Formats: sequence, structure tokens, C-alpha cells
Amino acid sequence: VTKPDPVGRALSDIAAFGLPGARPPTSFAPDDEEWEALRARILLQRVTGLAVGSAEYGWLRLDDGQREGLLADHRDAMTWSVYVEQKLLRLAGLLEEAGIGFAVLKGASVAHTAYPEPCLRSFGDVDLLVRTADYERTCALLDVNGHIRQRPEPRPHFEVRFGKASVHKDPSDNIEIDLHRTLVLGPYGLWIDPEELLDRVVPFTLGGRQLPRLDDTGMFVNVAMHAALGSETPRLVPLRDIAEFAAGCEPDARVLRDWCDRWHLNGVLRRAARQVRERLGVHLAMLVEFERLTVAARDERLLEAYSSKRGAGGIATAALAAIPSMRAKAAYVWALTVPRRQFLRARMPSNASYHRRWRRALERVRASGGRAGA
Amino acid sequence: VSAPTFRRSERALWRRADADVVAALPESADVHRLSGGAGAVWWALDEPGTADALADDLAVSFGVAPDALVSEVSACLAELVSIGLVERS
Repeated sequence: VTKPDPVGRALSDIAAFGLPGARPPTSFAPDDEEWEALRARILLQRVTGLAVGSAEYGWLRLDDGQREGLLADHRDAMTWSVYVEQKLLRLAGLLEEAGIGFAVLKGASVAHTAYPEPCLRSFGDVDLLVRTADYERTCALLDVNGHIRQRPEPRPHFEVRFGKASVHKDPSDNIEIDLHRTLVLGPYGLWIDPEELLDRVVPFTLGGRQLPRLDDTGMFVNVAMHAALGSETPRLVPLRDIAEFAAGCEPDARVLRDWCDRWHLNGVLRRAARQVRERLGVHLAMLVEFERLTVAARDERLLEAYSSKRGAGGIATAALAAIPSMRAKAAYVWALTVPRRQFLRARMPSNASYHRRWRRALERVRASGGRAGA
Repeated sequence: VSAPTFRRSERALWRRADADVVAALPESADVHRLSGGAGAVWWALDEPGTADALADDLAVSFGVAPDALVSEVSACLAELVSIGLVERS
């Protein structure tokens, strides 16, 4: 018998609040201990706006002190979102001046296009997608403008061949910039063609300016990949993003089918749709269709690399399936088994040894029965 | 001479936080919290209007005579114009 988890249920109801197709929320008046736990999870999941909405609506019954605490958390989250948008506009100016095309991913672009009100969608950083040909130039541009790259590449040019993104931070504002050249790590990030996504950008308005974002089809794919592949247990905001898109936006069905075929996305969409139903309790027609998609056995195995095998180097190993030539596979393996010392030091500051890294890799191979890739 | 019209700046970055508003200009180092009367004026600016028209709207909301609010609304608008969140034309 599963023990009832009223705090978990309330968090799920908050994340689904106001969505069409959502189950009715269960009225909840937390005691002090429950509120402490719920408030921490509301903050962690960045759903303060939806929690304020739930309290205004009345199913989340808070006393005056609890309500004041929640509003303070929400004001802080909104203030940070505005800081991040200021940063985004400064970066857009830098990139435009340098002639670098880009698209804003997630965060501000989703808040201002998919949600009824941007205050319902908090975010903590800036995510930008640039063309692979511009990626290293953009890293250098961020560097000369005071941003410190948070982790070096395993080997020079690794990211433009095999990687996903790098994190850059200006110590004066402490806002992370996730600079992407593709949407996710591993085989799915290598299968998709970010150039196609960037060829279809459309504008959204922020601070009186037009900024480029992915079109609805590209954004839907992005939020679905983020939800299905971004972490072992998807966070609630990416699931909410999917539901917002499924309820209110119109991805191009022909383009989506084409991408599903060429980019192996059936399993990604199916997994994302299932998570929305199971975690948020939301039933939407588009997502029901995605749950019926057929997924190849090989893709099923690769999806495990992003979930149950994630902690055991699953994604790094699975990427081999999407690297086309033996020569490229060898370069990939070499870069990860014999990375630069500075990469090792950044990964393992207390014990940056090749011996330790190789031993762990061997353990992974043994654990996977000697199968590399799919 | 007609009375000036006030409108929210298109450049303002802002968020609702319950009845309050968090707002800033893109290039500003400051993020402002508009609460109480300032928040109410911001919401009244959903539609551009003169100080008198805004005071009329707010008077209905607060259940007071418009004359009692005109000077406070005007002072608030002047402050919002000075920090660039509101434009006057």
C-alpha cells in the first residue's frame, strides 16, 4: 500500500493548476511541517507563480504567515526573472553586433509565448542556441566580455563535434548562460539538426525589442526533449511547458512527423507525454496521441541511458550509436578517456587522475555487459 | 492644451507578484517593486490615460471620491516617469 503523500499531491496540483485537462485539485490546508516541506519543493521546482495562483483560487488554503512567505518567495523569483531578462537583452545586443544568429531557448521565450502570463513561468538562467559554426566564436565573445566558462572541454573542439552546450558566468551578476549548439547531450542531441531549428526562428517581444525564438514546432520539440531527456526524474516546469504547448500552440504536424522519423523522436515524445499524464494528472488529446507512438527497440534501449542508466555514464556511452564513422567514434572515446588535465581537474578537483577515470569507465563497461552504445 | 496621457513604457520588463509589480528597464541596475498605490496605478495603466482618468478608475476601485486621489496619482505618475517605467505624451 502506497503511503498517501499530501505534499506531493499538492505540488503536482500546483504544477497543473489552471491547465485544461487537469484533474480537479484536492483542497489542502498544510500544517506547519507540511508547509515547510511544500514551500521548499515549490522553490526547488520554480512554481511560485502557480502556487500563488492556487492560493488565490482557494484550493491551496494558506494561513496569513504561509501566504506572506509564499508571496515573498514569488517576488524574489520574479525579480530574478527580470534580472535574467535584462541580461538576455544585453547578450542579444552583443550577439547582433557580432553578426551571430541565435535563438532564445526555454525560459523567457516560453514564458512570453506559451503561458497566459509570464509570472506563471519562473526561470533562473539564459539559454541560447547558436549555429555550430558560430559556437566557438560565441564562447570567445562571452569570454572577452567578462564571462568565465564553468567547465573546460575534454579536448579542443570536442563540443562542436560531440557536445551539447557550455555554461558561462559573469561573476559580477552570477547569471548562468547556457550556450547551446544542440538541444541535449548524447545520441538525440547528435541526431537532431539544430540548423533546421534555427532556419525556422520567429520573433517574440521583450523589453520593446524583437528577439528570435524557435517556432512553435521547434519549441515543442525542445521542451519535450528537455523534459524527457534532461534529468532522470523530469522537473515539473518542463512538464508544464509541454502541457501549455499541447493545450495552446499548434506545432506543424507535417514537420513534426518528419523530425520524428529522421531524429528518432517517437520515444522522446511518448516518454514526455506519459510523464505529463503521470506527474501532473493532465489529459490532453495531443499527448494521448504521442503516448500511442511506436518506438524502435534500439531507441527504447537508448532512452534508458537518459533514465535508469544515466548515473553510470549511460549518455556518454549511448552517444556512440549516433556518431557515424569509426574514426569519429575513436576520436570521441579518446577525448573522454584521455581528456586534458584541466578537464579532469574541473571534474574531480580532489583526485584528477587518469587511473581513477579509466577504472570507473571499465566498471561501467563491465556493468553494461561489455556493450558500448546500442 | 489637453492633459498629458500616460502609458507603460514598451521597454519595461515587469512581472505581476500578487497585487505588487516587479519592474525594471533593460539597462537599469535597479529592479523596482511597485506596491500599494504605485501597484494600483500600474494596473490602472492597462489602458493609457490622463491622471484624471486614472484617478477616476482608481476611485471606483477604492470607493473614494476621485478628487481625493488626483494629487497622489499625479505624484506617483511623475515618479514612474522619472524612472522611465511610464511614458508621458
